[in-house]
Amino acid sequence: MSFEQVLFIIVSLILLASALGAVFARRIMHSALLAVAAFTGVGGIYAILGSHFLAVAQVLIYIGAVAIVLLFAVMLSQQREISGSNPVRKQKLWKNWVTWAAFGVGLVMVLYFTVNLATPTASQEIPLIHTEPATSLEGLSELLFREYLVPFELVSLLLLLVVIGAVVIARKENDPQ
Amino acid sequence: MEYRLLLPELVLAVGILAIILVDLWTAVERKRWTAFGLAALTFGAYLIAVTSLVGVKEVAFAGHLLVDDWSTFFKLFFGITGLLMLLLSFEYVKERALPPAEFLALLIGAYLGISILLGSENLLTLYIGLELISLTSYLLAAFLRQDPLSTEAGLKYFLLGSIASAALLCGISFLYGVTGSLSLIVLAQHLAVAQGMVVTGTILLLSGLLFKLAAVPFQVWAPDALQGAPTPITAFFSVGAKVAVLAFFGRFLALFAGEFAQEINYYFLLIAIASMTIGNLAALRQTNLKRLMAYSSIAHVGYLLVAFVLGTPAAYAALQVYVAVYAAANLGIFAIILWAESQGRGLEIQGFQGLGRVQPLFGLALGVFVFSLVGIPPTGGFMGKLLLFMASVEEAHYLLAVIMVLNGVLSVAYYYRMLRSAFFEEGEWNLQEGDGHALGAVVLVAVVVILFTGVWPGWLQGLTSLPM
Repeated sequence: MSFEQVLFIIVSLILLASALGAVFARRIMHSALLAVAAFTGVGGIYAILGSHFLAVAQVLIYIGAVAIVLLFAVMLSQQREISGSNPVRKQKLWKNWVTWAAFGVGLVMVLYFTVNLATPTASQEIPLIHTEPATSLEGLSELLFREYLVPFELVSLLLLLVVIGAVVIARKENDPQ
Repeated sequence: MEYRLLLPELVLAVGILAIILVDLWTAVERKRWTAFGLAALTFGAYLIAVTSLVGVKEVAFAGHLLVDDWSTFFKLFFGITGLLMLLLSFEYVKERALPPAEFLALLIGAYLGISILLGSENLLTLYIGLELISLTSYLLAAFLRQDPLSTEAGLKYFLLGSIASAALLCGISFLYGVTGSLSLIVLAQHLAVAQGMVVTGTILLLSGLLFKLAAVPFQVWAPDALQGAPTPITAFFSVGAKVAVLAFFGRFLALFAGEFAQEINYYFLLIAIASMTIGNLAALRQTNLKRLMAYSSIAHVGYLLVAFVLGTPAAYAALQVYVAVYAAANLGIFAIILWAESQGRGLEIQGFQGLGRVQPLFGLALGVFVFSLVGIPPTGGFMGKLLLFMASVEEAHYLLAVIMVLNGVLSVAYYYRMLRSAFFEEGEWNLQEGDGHALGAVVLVAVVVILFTGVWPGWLQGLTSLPM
């Protein structure tokens, strides 16, 4: 096993553990902090894959901005006793055993197919398209504003619409328009 | 010039921005007229832009946009339903005091997503198009904030929809990882000799798409989401995203070939039969009109999937005729439901009681729509079903044809209850002086389309074409 593989396994384990912790933690504050740890893990995976710009952006945006907003939201909205404040913990999850069983069967099937059928290449006859990943800033901007121009602009519109919708849904009842 | 091909989508994007911006400077009492006027202009311009692309076959923007007659047909279809949606929601927005600009911006956003989805030759654009439709749909479903049912609809749709999106993304990442490309055409080459992760990825991708269709193993969200959503949005859900995803399926499955394609075909056959049967059986017990229509739309998705099982040009043409007629009947029925709702009649099936007496024209129209959905001549629904039926007999799918006919008989039982309520039962109506003109216009257009197609389906068939 190479150094990178070891690193990948360690980072993935941290990522998985903190993601699960974020769902099942007893206090919502802990959930938020564990989500931040999961974001960091994702950044680590980007770095291992050689996308250094993406890793830095992930840290700046998710840990620098999103995490702070998340923590603020938790602190502003939680005025009651904070222990047991994660709504997931209030549900008696073990009672939904049918769901769990179905989920388990599905997971096992996906894993089985993936492991059993996985071959490094899809097929030998068709040549794989291998593009060198753009790691430099110039390369990235070249991609964003040439090849991926349409999806890039669409995402900006999507974000605009979602913000508008969120404001409509969250606005106070008697607010003047 | 490449941008000419993107013109319809650009028109919608400009429309969204214009509606939001102009709203800021408009006096409160003129907001609704301004927003709806701009939206009508947007859809009108969209239709003109799409018409200019008839006959064009091109791939542009590094494969992110594909224009062919298949996508142009559906874009025209959606431009027209967009205009009808405006008529459907015009009075509703006033009655419920919804913010018109935001409502229309989200609605046009959903149409932008649909337009992108129709022209996508690339899994990335597919995903963004789908998310544009889904995220705006969640928000529109929860738009009635005072109504707990609406909030529930939005939340349920959002949670289940996110899981479907996650499955879809997971599938796309598998496919990208193995093939090194997001292009559908490259993917099709790999699918011809499908093995390994390509199979897993494709199954995940198709599951995510089938969820958006509310086809049977993935249908649980549909009744709740459609019942709680504002009624015009329910009408949109029952034709909008579904037809767009069906059109994309058409493009995707047309690229399929080889052994794996036959296997997928077999599953599609099972899903189609299960959708129509379970949709129809569940609809039998519904008393709420919106829930009933939700289950009926699950059943119709089943019929429509039959076209892909057959995969012949005749089946694809039948699909297009069926979709147009189905949408007309559905929008028409929702216009009548909206009118009854605005008269304070509620959304239960009893709300139609006495409709045939107090508003004979709407009663008659309801009869036409119901006949069309069941598939009784001389309505367009009969032609749609007949074309599908003939296509399946041609392919020697006799059992499938029999199941389709049996399901048609089954659906009579619940559609009939609407008619019985409207014509053979008495109800108290306090007719309010109000303008139902906008809704009346939708009903009129729908009736004309249905009867015209029923007598002469050739006009629609002349417009149909196969995916590139």
